[in-house]
Amino acid sequence: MRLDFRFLYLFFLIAGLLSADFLHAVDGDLDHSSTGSALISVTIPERISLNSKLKELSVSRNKPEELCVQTASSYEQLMVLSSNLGELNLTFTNTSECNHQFSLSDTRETGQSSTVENPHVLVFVLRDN
Amino acid sequence: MSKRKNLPMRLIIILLIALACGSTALYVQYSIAATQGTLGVSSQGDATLSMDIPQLVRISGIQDINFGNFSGGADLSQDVDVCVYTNLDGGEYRVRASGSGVDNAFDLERDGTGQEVPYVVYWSDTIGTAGDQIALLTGQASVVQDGANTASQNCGGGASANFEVRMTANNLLNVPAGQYSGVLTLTILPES
Repeated sequence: MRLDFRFLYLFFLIAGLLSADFLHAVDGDLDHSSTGSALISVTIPERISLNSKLKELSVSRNKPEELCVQTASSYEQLMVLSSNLGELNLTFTNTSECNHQFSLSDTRETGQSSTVENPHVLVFVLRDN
Repeated sequence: MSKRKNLPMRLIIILLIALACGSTALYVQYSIAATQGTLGVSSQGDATLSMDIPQLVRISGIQDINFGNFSGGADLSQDVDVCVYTNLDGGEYRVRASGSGVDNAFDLERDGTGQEVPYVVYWSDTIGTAGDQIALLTGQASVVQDGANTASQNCGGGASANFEVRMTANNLLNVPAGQYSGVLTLTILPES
């Protein structure tokens, strides 16, 4: 069985490219001065603010503890940018009642007192896929 | 007349004698400290051993920082514990940082677009961020830091200092979406 070195070469080429892209950190040498480096990176995803797309989002309250947020079909991810509901644990669920919509619910256990302030403020961010 | 002729010759002789004496002294001092044994029942000689250990420093344990996806909310910060070693008494050193932006600025750049996000770098001469941090200015050596490991060039697998990178949400919201990256270079300088 002969080993095809072209694939081996391709493997090391890809591995080298990957390591160059993702594994940059370099330690310094032991010397009179020592220099090391690190790669700093961040990804800024595309977003559309609520203000610019206000007409494409509507919020209804089907139950006291549940908010149903309806967005345009082209937006599939919704997140809370900020809120004053400090003790409210918000989760997103895609329920049958809100088909192709998003639902926010209070996940506190039953009987736990509500201490949220009034008025409730939620700032939503839509992410365009 | 003969005295005038002899004067340069005397000077030359004196200079040659002085040069020979000086060379001999240097030779004795630096080259032939070894003494040879004499012929006998036992014989003993000795040799002087010497070496110079220059000032040495090292930074290691550096890790890349990937902030991942910016959520659009709070400011971002991440820190890395690193090992700083020096063989100078007191473990003192200075640190100099530079970025990969224009004029070595601390900027992350979106490939090929010129879009940049600034960041700031803080240094602490102890691990973690709870100690006193100093903001580093690109290309400028810091004030004297101490606490470097003086026993092991890799701190025995531990760390002795920390750097932190911070970016504000306002700056991150002020640029187009995309992948931003840059290289932060840290240089340790001995403090003698």
